[in-house]
Amino acid sequence: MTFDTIFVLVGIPLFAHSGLAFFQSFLKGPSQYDDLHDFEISGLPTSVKIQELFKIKLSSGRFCCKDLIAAVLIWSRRLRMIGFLPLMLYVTFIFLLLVKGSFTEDFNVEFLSNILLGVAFLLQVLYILFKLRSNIPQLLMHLPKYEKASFLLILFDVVPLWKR
Amino acid sequence: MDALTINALVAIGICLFFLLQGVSYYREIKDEESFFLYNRKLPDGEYAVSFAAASTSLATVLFFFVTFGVEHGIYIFFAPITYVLGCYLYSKLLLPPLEKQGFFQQREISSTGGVITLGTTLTKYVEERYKSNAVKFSITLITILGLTSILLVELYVGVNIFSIYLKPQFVDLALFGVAFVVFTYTGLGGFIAVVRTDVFQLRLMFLSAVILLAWLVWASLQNHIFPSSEIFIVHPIVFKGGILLPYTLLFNILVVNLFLVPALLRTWQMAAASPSSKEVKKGIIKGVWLTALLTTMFILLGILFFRSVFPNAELSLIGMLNALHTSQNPLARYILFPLFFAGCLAALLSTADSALAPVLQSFSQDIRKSNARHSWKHRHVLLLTAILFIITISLYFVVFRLLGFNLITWLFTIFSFLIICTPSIVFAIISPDNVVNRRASKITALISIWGGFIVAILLSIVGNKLKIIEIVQLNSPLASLFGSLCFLVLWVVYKIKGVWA
Repeated sequence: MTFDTIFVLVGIPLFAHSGLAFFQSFLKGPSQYDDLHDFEISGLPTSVKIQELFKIKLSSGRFCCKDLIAAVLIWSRRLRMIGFLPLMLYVTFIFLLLVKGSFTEDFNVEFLSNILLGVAFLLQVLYILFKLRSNIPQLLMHLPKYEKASFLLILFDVVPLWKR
Repeated sequence: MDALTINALVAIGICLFFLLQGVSYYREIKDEESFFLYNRKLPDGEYAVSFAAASTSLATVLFFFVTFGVEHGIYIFFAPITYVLGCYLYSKLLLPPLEKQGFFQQREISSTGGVITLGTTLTKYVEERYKSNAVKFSITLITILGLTSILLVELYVGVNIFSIYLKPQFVDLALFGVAFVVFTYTGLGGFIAVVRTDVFQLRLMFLSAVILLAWLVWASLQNHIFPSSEIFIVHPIVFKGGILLPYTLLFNILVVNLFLVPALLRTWQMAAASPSSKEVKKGIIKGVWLTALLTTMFILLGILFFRSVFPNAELSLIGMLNALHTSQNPLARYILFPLFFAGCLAALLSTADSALAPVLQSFSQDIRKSNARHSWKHRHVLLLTAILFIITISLYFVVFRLLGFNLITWLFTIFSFLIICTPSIVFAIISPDNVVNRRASKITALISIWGGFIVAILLSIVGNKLKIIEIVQLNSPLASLFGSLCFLVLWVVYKIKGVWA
């Protein structure tokens, strides 16, 4: 049994769970998911708009890499679901693994799926680092269900990613 | 990393972007008005952009016009010109009476206490004017059939562009991915998501068209082919069997472009979403010019591509993509190929979502008949979206895989389906109140719709059987002529009897 097979077998129930939880959180309306965004990034309240952030930071002459990441996060939070993005990348990844045999020989599926997995992994780590800075038990308590599932999935992912 | 992988990453990125962007408007959905009608605050700028993005479809502009452009040269510009004319006529002749009849105002219905509006869907409008369920259901059925077919064709052509990745027997796999993206964000974000994603989709289309066109001009100049007019003017203006274009194609394009706008459910949804007829007028005029500009760019792009830079490429969208990705030029392979693919994807998504939104609205508001606004539930619409997803995918397999319809035949047939309703709709708009709900008007409307339908279907089937495309192309002109003649006779009778003052 290859790693890909194990990944798909374990991944599908996790995806099903996280996908359902995601849509449930959507259908329920405002929930704990919203409260999670009431944290501060880079010392500024999250309600601040991206343009304002840049204005304040640039005028004070204190603009660093952290602010840039904060800006990216604020921008992506406007989409309200950066946590959903890694999940979607995983779904695409699983889809690629499942239908690998149907692709043409010119197209390097392995390479693409590794990139997707890598991006998903990085995004999730970034998201988690910036969301609840470090405390893992607290983090797991606060994360919405679908993110918990996809978080477990990354831990599980690292193995095949590294193995490749 | 090879060009195909870069392209795949770009394509996945774009699909994810639009999916997330569209779904993010979920929180703005409060009720039926916000889901289907943008809270009736659609500004003319967004109207124009959305109109242009939806009109620039992968199947017509990027497939049909590009290939016909190569065959007929610059004379195919007749198509965008007549489309501008059609939209101009709509805004000049049909919008003023619609405003007078109160299409843009909300009206109180005292018996239930709820608010019902005349300006919600084409069906409601037709029902209100003709006061006939038979006419209402006939128009609903045919317009939904037409729009669902547009969605199908768009998905079919869209799925085919993925054949650069998939082995031929697995090409249909792409259908699930693309349809999932469109149905998810339209079902969750509603009409707001459709309009706002159109803004980015149109930008992407323009960007890809401008950059590819600029490169093609440069590459043509390198080949010393550009100065020659032979690639643009392929036959004299008057030739045996046609003027500018072959007669059947000429009449088909003329009739479809002049008659199409009032019969599209999308036009009515956008009009109802606008605060006033002025906004609609401004939006549609700006939008149609944007559409004409984009169409013109894609036609030029097709001519330069196939007649100058890649003369050996297969004359199709997939031929274009293959030529770009196998080109020796790294710019073509690594930049232009993903860019053009992105433009194609944007065109596909923008047309598909704009076809889906009014179909959802029609199913939800006209067929389910939920007038009282407090009973509206988003989860019902989500369920409806899921059902439509299954129906669309099943229809796709039935039409294209089981019945094996030819795409071009199907395209001509769809448009003839849509425009057979136009005479009845125009009559409802322009005729006086005391005339439109008379028994004779209702019967004429039914005869014109179903008679036109039979004419269109018969010509399509015969043309398809005999493999003579000219017969198929005649379906729209003859079907609409039949409908128009019915109403002309009725008008004369009313005039003679003195009913129509």
